[in-house]
Amino acid sequence: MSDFFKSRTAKGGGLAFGIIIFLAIIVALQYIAVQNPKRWDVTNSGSHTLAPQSRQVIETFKDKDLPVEVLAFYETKDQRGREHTQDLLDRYRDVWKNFTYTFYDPDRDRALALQNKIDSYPTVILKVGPKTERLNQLDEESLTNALTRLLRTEVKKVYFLKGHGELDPADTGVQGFSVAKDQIEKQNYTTSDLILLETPKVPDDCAILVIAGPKTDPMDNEFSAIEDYVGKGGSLLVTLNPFKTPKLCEVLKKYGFETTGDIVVDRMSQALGGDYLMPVITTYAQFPITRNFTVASFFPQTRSVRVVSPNPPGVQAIELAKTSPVSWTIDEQQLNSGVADFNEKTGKKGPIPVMAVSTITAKALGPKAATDSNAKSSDKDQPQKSDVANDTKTNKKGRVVVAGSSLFAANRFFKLQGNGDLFLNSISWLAEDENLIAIRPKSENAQPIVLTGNQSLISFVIPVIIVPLIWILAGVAVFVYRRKLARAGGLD
Amino acid sequence: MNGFVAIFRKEMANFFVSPIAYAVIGIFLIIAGFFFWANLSLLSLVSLQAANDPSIMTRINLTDVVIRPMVQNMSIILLFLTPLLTMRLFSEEKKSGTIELLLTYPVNDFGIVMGKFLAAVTVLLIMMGCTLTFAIIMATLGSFDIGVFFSSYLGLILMGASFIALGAFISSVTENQIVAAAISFGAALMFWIISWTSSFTGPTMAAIIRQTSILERLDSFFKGVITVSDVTYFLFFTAFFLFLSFRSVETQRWRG
Repeated sequence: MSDFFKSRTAKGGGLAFGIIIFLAIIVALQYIAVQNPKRWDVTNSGSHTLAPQSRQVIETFKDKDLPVEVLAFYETKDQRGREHTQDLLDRYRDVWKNFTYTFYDPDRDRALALQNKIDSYPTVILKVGPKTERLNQLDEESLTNALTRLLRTEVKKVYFLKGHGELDPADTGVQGFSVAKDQIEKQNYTTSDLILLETPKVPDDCAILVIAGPKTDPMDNEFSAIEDYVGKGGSLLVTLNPFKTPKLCEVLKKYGFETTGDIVVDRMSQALGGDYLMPVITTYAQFPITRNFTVASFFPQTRSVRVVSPNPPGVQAIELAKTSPVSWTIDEQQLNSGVADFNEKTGKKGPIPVMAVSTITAKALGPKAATDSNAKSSDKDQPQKSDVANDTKTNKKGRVVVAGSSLFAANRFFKLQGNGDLFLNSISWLAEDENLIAIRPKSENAQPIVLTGNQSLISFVIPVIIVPLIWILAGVAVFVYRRKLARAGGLD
Repeated sequence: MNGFVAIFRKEMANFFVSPIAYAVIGIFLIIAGFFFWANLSLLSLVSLQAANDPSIMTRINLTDVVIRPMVQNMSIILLFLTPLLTMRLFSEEKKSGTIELLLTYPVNDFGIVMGKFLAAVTVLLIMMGCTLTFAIIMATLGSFDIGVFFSSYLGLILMGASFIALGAFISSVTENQIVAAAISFGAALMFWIISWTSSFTGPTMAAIIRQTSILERLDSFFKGVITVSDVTYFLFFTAFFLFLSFRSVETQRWRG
């Protein structure tokens, strides 16, 4: 018997058994590690962590103790997409443990797929009680918005004014407005065109009226309808073009906005990759629209938008975004002449405000009151900035946002740096959906680097030549030295 | 770990009195340096183009354009070069017959395996350490995501250590260095690409295959996410092949 245990067969068997046991232990430990995912997002930008907005939404479900069930229909072969989705869903589950998800292959689980009317892959269905939402493209933004939609009881409507050369929401070209429209709809609003020449007033279901870069002024009866709408507590977003729509600018003056026939020139924008007529915005006022805003935005071909001082009665206005100090304004004549230097007679030095916001007390600015808006106002009526943000729903107030550039939200520039966020935050504030206002999920910030000749040379010579050469020369030296020693009989 | 230090010192001396370490480190640095320079030049070119079209400016930064592609390329270079570090660990001793001599020394098997393994890992660390010049150059040009850089290097080092453990085991079962290098490369490559087959299999098998794939594990590190299961995967992978190496050396004693 003892000879058997000493034999090679017995030792080989013991060896194999030991290996199997060891393998089983590490597989079990790894299984436990996989089942209990713990991870750290070490990126500076936190790009693999839930955005504050998403966290806020999922916290609402947690507070209300509403379980969320997710059915994710992915083909088995779509492993990449599936893992990306799982990674995203895990981030929500980390916050709310009753956020549960299951993956199904629609080809293998046909009955379930038919039951849930799955006709394209991938499809993700979110279920909260009797309510369901389905998504075909899954990213943090769309998932959070779907969750917000599940919390909502009404769908708000955004109208785009048409008939005056405005940016077209149906136009998918670079000058179009389709990206903004799509993004608004992703934020759970419905959109519709509005031709005020055909209807006497702004529809009652209008949550926000958008006037995106009109090239001509609306008619008088259209102005009446708009003023009536704002006077009753409506929300208005206006993006302007330089040197155009003087009547519209005159109406906006009643809401606390002062615009002049100018265009902003900015030296700083060229350093960041833009041109002189595309000012970069890095200074924002503290306001719900610009809360936590740390990214720059670009306002191509913008006019200045200042706040009327003092504010008209019942109006509380503040300047929201300003250009850099190395900017200035020029008039149309200077622009056409091609001489864009600062002229103190015709222009003003930066920072130039290019976006402003105001709230209007409904009763203070009815159609009649609006007519008299240039009436005197006392200093007592002047609001503090914080008052604007502390607007209450009990006393319905009109909300107006005015931007000096219409192109900042056009297709070509919408996704440039903070432009999209600034626009969507404005929409959220106008719709009184402040809970949606936050910086959307972001990856790394842009940081263009153009190498100088020396930098390019150094980045080639040091890593590709000098450092490897040191090792190669050291190797050659050791080799030669060893060879010499061997010849001298110093080495065996 | 009896005699571990002596084995470690002997192996380090072996690496640095022969041309192997110099050649592997030199080649690695030339190729990695070239990729670094090429990616940096690409960033410069794209930044120039962005001056005319700012809409392409998003995601133009050192992290996305330089660091991530560079570490992905470095992982592939390591896949090719680590077998060169490990091929002679045991094979050479078996071929020359010094393994028997080694086994008669007052050194236990675990000390032998760990000494050889850690010596190869030290060469790997020296190799990776030399590429920190890239970080210094990048720091002079602008800010980059140090978190992504750190996690990517952690992933590379863990992967390199796993390949070294695998290579050490292969080297312990053959006395031919070329065969050891070829099998080590082939085996590492299999663990690298195995996830490609997951789409042809059933869901359970696909999940197992994906859990086994190195490529899937590295992805998180390169994104800047450190996951416990990814770290344990590499640690267990290394531990398993070190265990096999240990057992393989042990068999030398009773096989004679």
